[in-house]
Amino acid sequence: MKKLFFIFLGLVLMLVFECGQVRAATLRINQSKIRLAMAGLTTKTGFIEVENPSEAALIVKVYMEDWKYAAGQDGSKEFFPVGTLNNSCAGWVSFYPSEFVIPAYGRQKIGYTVKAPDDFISARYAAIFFETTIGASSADESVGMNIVIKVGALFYIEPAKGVVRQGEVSNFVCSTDAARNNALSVQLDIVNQSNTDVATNSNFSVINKKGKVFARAALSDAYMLSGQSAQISGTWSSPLDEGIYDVVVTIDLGKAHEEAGLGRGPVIVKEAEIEVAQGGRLVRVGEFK
Amino acid sequence: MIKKCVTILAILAITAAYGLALAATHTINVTAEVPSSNGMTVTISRVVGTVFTELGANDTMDFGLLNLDPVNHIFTAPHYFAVEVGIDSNAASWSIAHTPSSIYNRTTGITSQNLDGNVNVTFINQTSDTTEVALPDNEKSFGASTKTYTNANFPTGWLRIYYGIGTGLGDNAGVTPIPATKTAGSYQGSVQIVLTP
Repeated sequence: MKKLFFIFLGLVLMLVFECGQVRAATLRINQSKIRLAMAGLTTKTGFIEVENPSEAALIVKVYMEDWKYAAGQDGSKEFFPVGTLNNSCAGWVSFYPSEFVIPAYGRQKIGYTVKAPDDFISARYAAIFFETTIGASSADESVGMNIVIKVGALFYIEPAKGVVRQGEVSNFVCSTDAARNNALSVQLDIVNQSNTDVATNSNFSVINKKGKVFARAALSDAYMLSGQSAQISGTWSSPLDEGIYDVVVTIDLGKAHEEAGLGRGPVIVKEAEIEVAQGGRLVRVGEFK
Repeated sequence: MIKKCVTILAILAITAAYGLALAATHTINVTAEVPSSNGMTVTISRVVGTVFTELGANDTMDFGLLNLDPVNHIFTAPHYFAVEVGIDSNAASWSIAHTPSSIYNRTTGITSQNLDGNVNVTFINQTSDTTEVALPDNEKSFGASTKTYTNANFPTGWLRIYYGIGTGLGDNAGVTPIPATKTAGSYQGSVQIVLTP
């Protein structure tokens, strides 16, 4: 009887152990970008919900950082301690709680308050991070690594009035590549002259003198804070017929705001006349205007 | 005759009225709101050869007590690790960043005694359980494994990151095996995996 009891106990413990063997950690938040237009000396509040849809409780720390778009302007970001960057609004944001435990399959709301100062004429940025750690370092003679998971949401705080989105393009280069079947490439630089961030959505079209479109291709997206510049480029891979065309470049500066449901544009349209020889080779590029 | 015509007209009128009644559309609004969601799931597997064993959510990547290879005079580990990072985001764009913190000797506390150049880190776009696509610039030493990828790098599938101690064979650039002369102690480090929109 005693033997049977221990066998039964062993089976129960095995079952409990197997059920408790949680194999993944998941951290999820319900907002990733918080874009607010605020007048000076006003306050806005909101909350972010943090979800733990996994089978184990998570200890979550919450904190702010500064951020900016990384060089290359492909949307990657660099993060810094609060107060590092001049355009930070991390100091304007308070939140509660700053550390908590989310039980398995649980949720936790984090309330935040943004207080805008009076002298505020250009957009400011900050990131709020939700961090949890998988595993704990062992102290014996071993080699190991913890994994720290961080999920961030970005604050974009714009002045309620006086936001101007504008950019300037330069260094237009149009070329064909004989090694790639005379593929037509377009490249140009753009600088964000706005007092807020800009994300572009751009393309170029090749149009003949009768208005017929012969080619259209996307230009790479660019993500810029005020004063940042980017190089954007795109390629039409088929050779053009011999002739004279206009290359029309269209750059929508309002991609980020459109995604946030805050309007569209403005759009920059510029063009240059090009001449293509037989076989698709480019022989002349006119003024980009 | 007139009676017949009136009857036919009456039938037509009733049919038309019935038809109109049937045709009168009743609109039922269907609404749904897809919430914004930004998250990731991380799973660690210990790998021996090609056999993956998933670890518990509270387990660390522990190479354990390393083995001394008396022939090549290096320390080796019996396994390596694969970390699966599944992104769960409906943001228009997102970035996933990997940042290492030095694996240094916690016993002595001397940060220059580290294994940052002895651990391979390889980033893969896993498109199915058995299909891997190498990500750009994906083979690094642990110390040089600061790396960011965006959603454009993952048309399908998820991020898998391999961590393995150098063996002297097929190591990533900048990775060397741990020499037998390495100071004893507990070497611990960490990696941050950061998801931002």
